[in-house]
Amino acid sequence: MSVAILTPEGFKELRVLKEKGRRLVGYFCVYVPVEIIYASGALPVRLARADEDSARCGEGWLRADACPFCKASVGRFTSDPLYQMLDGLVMVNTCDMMRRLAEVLAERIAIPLFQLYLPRTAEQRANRIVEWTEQLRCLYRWAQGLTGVKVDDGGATEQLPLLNAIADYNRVRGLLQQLDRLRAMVPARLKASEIFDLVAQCTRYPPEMVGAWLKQEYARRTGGLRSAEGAEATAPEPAGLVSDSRPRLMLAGSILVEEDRLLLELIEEQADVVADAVCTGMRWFTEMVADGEPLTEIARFYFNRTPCAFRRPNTVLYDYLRRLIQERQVKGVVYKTLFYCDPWRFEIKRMRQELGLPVLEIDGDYCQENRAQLRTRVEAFLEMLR
Amino acid sequence: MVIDYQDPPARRVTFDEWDDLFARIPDELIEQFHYFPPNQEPWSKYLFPPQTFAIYGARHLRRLKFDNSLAALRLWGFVQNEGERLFRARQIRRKVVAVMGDLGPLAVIVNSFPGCVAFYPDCWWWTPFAMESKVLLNKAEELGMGEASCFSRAALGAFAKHSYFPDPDLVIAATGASCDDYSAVESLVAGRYSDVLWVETPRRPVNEDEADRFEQLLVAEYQQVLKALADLTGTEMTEALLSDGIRRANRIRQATEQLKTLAYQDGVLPALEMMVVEFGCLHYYSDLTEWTGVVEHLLQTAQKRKERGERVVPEDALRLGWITPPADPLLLTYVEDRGARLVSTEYVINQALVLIEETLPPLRAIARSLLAASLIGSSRSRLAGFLREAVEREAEGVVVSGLLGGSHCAMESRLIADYIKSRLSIPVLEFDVAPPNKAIDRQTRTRIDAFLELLRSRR
Amino acid sequence: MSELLTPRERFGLLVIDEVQDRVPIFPLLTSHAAVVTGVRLRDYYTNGEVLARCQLQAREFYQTDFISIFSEVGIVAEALGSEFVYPEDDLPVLSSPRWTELERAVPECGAEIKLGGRVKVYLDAINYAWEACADIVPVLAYVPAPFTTAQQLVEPESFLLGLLEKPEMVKVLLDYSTRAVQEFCRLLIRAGALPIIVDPLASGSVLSPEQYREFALPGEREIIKFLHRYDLDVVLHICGDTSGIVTLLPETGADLVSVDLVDLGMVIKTIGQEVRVIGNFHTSDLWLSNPEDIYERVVAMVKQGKNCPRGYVAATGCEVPLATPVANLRAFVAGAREASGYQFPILRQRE
Repeated sequence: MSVAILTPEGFKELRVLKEKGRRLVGYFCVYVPVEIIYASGALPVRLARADEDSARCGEGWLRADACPFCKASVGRFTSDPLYQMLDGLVMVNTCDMMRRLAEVLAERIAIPLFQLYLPRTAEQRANRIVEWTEQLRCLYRWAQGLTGVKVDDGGATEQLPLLNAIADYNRVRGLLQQLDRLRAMVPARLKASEIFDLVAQCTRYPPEMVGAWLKQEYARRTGGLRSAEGAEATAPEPAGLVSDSRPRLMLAGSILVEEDRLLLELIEEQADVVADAVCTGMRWFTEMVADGEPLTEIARFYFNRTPCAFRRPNTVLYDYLRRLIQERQVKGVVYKTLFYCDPWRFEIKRMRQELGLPVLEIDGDYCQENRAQLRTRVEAFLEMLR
Repeated sequence: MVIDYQDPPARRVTFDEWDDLFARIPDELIEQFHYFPPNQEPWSKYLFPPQTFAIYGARHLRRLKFDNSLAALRLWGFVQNEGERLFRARQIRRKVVAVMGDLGPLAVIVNSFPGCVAFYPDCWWWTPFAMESKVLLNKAEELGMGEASCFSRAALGAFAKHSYFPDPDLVIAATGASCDDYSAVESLVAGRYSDVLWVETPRRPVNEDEADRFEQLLVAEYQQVLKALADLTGTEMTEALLSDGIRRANRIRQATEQLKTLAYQDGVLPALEMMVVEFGCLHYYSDLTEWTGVVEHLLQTAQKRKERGERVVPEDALRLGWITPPADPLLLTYVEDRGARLVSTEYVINQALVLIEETLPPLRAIARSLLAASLIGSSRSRLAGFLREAVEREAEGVVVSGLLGGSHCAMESRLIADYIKSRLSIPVLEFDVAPPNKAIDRQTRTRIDAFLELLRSRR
Repeated sequence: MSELLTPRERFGLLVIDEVQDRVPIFPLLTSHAAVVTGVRLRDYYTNGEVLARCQLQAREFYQTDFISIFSEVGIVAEALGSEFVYPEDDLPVLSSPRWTELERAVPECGAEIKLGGRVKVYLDAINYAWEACADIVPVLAYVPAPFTTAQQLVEPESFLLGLLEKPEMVKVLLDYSTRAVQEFCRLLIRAGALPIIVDPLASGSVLSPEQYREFALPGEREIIKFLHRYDLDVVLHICGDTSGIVTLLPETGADLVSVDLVDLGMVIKTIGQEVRVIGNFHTSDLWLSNPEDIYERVVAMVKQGKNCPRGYVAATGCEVPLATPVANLRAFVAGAREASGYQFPILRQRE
């Protein structure tokens, strides 16, 4: 199986699944409840692919000052076989641009599209959670309509696929958490780019498929001494002082797509990215869905998960970052945003103030022209940290 | 008291011409208008000419053209005075409540509480244009919101400065299916300057079931607001008070709707004054009672003009629709100077012009009024009313003015332009409003000129 | 480090009775602006753009809170026909009043007001400054009050004798002067300046309190009333010793009163509840003393002044003397700033 970049082999896997009758449902955002799509018999496929060409293509419909990820996502529907293979699309009202992307796509693509409404306000008020739960129920019905697997008696038969889906995805998240502890070690024993690769797979292939692979990966990393599942979920103790030679960094900011792997590799030449707050990274697996009535628990999980910066208030995000900084002995932050990504971009000064660490701001789109400049900036930042 | 003052024949006048007119206004008339009625304190007078505000920094006024009626003078004096009014409100121990990101409903609720003054920090986005100043925008940039955001970032600068409005007694911030730029302003205000009561703004419902649920969701949100305001004021809200608040808001909405017709159909008021009035339906420039007087005064003036057959823009002027507020008021003066007039507008606030239902339980009615908001739905739904008016009034072209960095502009401007072209088959001009300056930038001016020329050639 | 508020924002708070980040600083920095920028005085007061640019540069240099459009108090008298000579390196000097005697003036006082002279210089200066910085700094234009103007329309001897012997005639002239000053104000307002009324010749060293009430105050009040029609916050400045008329000053309607050779504490105590007080560092000291002393004394002055209930502006008692050493005025500003801070924003208590 491939890693993050969707290789022809990886694509073939999905093609095979589709040919076997599996409906592929695309989604962009970490707030889409994959369990529900999965429980309805479809395969949720995260769409986190963007590059310069697709962003430019998207400018045929969106203005230049639209979020590059939105532009690229529009563009991908005209050029990317993965996007063209989809049977349905689930979107969420998160930031304004993503909310409006649904309308733009609805004008351009022929597949069914479901748009979830997630309250932007994040305080746990009953009315908000009730509505969010109802949204998920509607999604479930929609997804079942798509797959033809209709179970809507509201009883145990309806719950069973959801419970299974929760268990499957929780298992995957648990495995990722264990692997992630390896990157938290001093020195780090797993690269951030590898974590991002693993998350990319987990959000693209069925959990039963990736689960086995994650276990192997863990065993390989730990010299086969421990098996992943059932092992003590404790990170190896940090071994004294942090090495001066490889700064320990945290990555935060807008969505990192497959093509952003280059940035990670650039940093990893000289530093370890031991933590992150990115939706295609650690934020995907950092919590678990709790036991209980499945739809309610799924709703709670997604409503309360470590928030994207767009939620209000987003103080929990700051708490999460501070905790990681302390636990993982982070010395600097790489803050990577997309042009016009308002939710992340405009928090930067506050972030600097509240985190109290050196921050390297990288604001960009998918243009590759400034790679040399990027390298210089990263190197200067790391030099400063040393 | 009968005061001898007759409006001159209706027309648009320059800054200097207003001063000549002002010289004719009797002192007794100036004494007659006070904000926060029935208050009669000397500081609460507001019938002053644009010169007054230009001296205090509102430089843009010198470049604009104004309606020459007493009612319009009253309008400008009242609007320009808002910042001071809010400080005075605090000085006389009213509770000053900042209502951020609201699309109309929260101001109705806050104003229903006796002794509460609701204001929209959002509206300080006009200040950089009015003053031709980067002071507030630079301050916002220092705090992390630079040129990649729309001009609403000025509100963040205003919070940081503590000198444009008093530090509020309560900050309520609505967010959700709204613009990201302003949501970022709210987030930073919450992070630095004030505790914030967050209120959810759902999207426009996709079906009736969802509409019912969203109403319930909103009612629960508004109950939190009522509770916070009750804690602040010591007053328990009653259904009667809320209903009265709705009636007072509706009175303004109704007058505004009539004015819109008189301005955009009959051409008896300039576009600039009309835009100022349209925005007043959201927040009443921090004094609902006096704003009612201002709008009704304008309405009487407009009705008289119609009866007399007076116009401020020629009947044969090019008929334009305008979508998204132009931010720079000079643009409206300019198109009228160039021989066009507005016949239909969609400043992303049209929901505030629709009457709130008075037969429903008040909170539900207020909730329902929000769910039709322009900003929270699709671009198509946003345009429905606009298109109807544009067709009725035979618009010959449409201007879509955008804001660089504005999250909704980036996503919907193209969609809107395409949609209008396909529905109305008329030319559409799309441009971004340039940053505050003393003149319209040359490129925009040329584009407007060429567009109007094109429309003229199609006649 | 840059300050939180601009001078415009600071002044805006002062005039609506709100606390500011600090006391505004207002040395009456007038023609000294030409000296400090190396411009010949005649160029300064005969060319509006030059005047404005000197002011802008001087304000920037000293970091004060206002622009002062002014050269000398003869501007309206000249505009009405009095003649002035323009020395190259000094301020205009009255050479020939419009009328030699009061008796000659009176029959002509009903005429329509037409303002000539260097009024255009003033308006050009205001325009330039306003366009350049009115969003950040208040642009003040000094207006000689009717009494001061009238005294320059007639030979001084005739005028002063008239105060004693022909008060009715003086009042006719004063009415004329008032109309002219009002017209002058109207032009300043259109150009974008906030008029500040100066009445140096009504000072206690010239007029008794009774005479002040009879001859000077009505014109001041009339002009201030006119400015209040525009809701402008009016500064009234009277040089010299005004101890005897302090209690009368609020009667003019002025919103801010600028004083010179009087005890600041007394002024604040007497009228500080009614008006904002501006003052009053001794200008001879500013000129002749040394920076260290100036600094210390300004600190003391501002500490006293900032307690004025309606608000306070740290200022010199009169115009900054032309030859004031740069270091001295800088010491003034530094001292004023040192002592000027208020708690801002106020931490409010829940009421």
